[in-house]
Amino acid sequence: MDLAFTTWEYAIGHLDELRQATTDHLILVTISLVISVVICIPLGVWTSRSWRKSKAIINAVNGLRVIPSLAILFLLVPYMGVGLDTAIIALTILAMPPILVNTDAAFRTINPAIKEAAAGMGMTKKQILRKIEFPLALPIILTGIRTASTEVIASATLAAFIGSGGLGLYIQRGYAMYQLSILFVGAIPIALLVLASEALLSSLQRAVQSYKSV
Amino acid sequence: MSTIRFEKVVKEFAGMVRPALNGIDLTVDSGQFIVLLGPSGCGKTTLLKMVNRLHEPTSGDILIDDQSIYNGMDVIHLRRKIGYVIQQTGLFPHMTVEENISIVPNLMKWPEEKTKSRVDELLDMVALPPNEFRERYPAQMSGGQQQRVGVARALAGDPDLILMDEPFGAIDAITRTDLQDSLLKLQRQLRKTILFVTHDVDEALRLADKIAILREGQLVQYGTPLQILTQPNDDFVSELVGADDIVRQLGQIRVETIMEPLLDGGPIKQTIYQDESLRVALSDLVKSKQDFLTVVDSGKQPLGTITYDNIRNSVG
Ligand SMILES: Nc1ncnc2c1ncn2[C@@H]1O[C@H](COP(=O)(O)OP(=O)(O)O)[C@@H](O)[C@H]1O
Ligand SMILES: [Mg+2]
Repeated sequence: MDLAFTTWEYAIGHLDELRQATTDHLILVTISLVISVVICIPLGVWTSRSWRKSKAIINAVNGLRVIPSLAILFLLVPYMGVGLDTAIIALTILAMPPILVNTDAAFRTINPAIKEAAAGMGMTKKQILRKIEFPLALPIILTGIRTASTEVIASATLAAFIGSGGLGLYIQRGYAMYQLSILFVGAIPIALLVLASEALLSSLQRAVQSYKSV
Repeated sequence: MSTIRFEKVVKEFAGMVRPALNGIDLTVDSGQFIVLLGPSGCGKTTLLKMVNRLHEPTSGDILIDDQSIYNGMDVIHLRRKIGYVIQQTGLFPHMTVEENISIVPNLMKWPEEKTKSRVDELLDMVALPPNEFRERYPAQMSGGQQQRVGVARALAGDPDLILMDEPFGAIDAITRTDLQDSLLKLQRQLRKTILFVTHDVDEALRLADKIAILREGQLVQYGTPLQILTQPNDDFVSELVGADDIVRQLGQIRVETIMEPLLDGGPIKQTIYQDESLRVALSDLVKSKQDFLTVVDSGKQPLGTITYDNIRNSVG
């Protein structure tokens, strides 16, 4: 009870800072996710067209996944210095595997008969991609984005350690000052952001595949 | 109008010991219902997919209305003018019935109103009440209903030529008969040129104006169901269609294919529907103790007559 109270008090006392930290956190997360999506969806479509590419990319990406996020971040620092771009690159690298792997799988597993029906009716390759393949792949791509989003929101905490702000600020500060309440001021909003992104993306997912469960 | 001519069509796939198709010569007249029949792997699908150029021949030519489909014809344009139906998986699961049927009209940039009324007209045609089915997704329909939508979708752009690849393959036997009946009725109204692939002999005998029998990439016989049954070219055909089983033959041949044209003013006693089999005709003749039956269409209009002699002469 005491802890809850001191946490609350600290948050109220640092409201402007907290607001700024949350905004920074969200910006960090959004930019990394957007970059990953913009890179990985076309890349996943491309790899899905051939078994060899598909296998090569999946292996590479799974290799990447073995490296913990913390390591990625600190591996980059010697090359890029500290700062926002380093954090964004690290988070983007982190977000890419689930989006890429899911996009690849989503496009690769579309029933070939459906694509052939579309081609047989006189749709161009572009039309098939846009009107048939992409909508059918979307639910699985969204699953990838969901996973990536959770990972990135949590890992963005580490950005504070290389001076890029975000809610990790309070984790860092609480840790340094041995104050659990300050730590919670960072941890609680992070947990809430994860829950919110889960809720948002899963309802989006339900909406785009409503045709399945009716 | 749509005649198709296959000229010495050969198709080799990389890594196959023999060509999938080995010199097919076949002429299909306009408005005919042609069934491509043969065991699995004999090349039926390959032949069909050459007509809308999902496959290209290794050599030979295909002509639609005497024009080669490979010389200066745009493949996208060609496909939009040919209806295409495959097994039920061919419907787009994320689109409603209306959206599925509207694909080709939209590709051809029809005005919205025209497309809408076309969708309703087609749904009526395949016996699915538009108000009930327009907004449904494929997952909300039975296999048979999905296949009706598949047929409606293929008809949407009003093509002269329709390709159907085992469209009723995954459907239970009773529904399948239902769908076959509907298709026969529809074809009687529309008189499209239809190429229909099946490995189901009964289906071929019931539906076809003419059957093309394929074996290992070669055309072994091309003729009416009756010709195929009564004059099989070789043992392969004879065995495939069960030509020595007379009861079976009677069950598969439609009355209209052997009836005699109507003589004016003859009396009408017992009637029989034109799509009934000779077996039903025979049984009706026996039961009604008549010498002949009057063959009628779905509007009960007399078309011709059928007698014991007609039936006896028709089977080997
Ligand atoms: N895309 C393809 N690549 C290689 N071989 C194929 C391809 N399509 C069909 N074949 C081969 O061609 C032959 C005929 O196939 P198909 O036309 O599908 O037969 P059917 O439809 O009569 O069952 C089969 O031996 C099949 O394995
Ligand atoms: Mg086939």
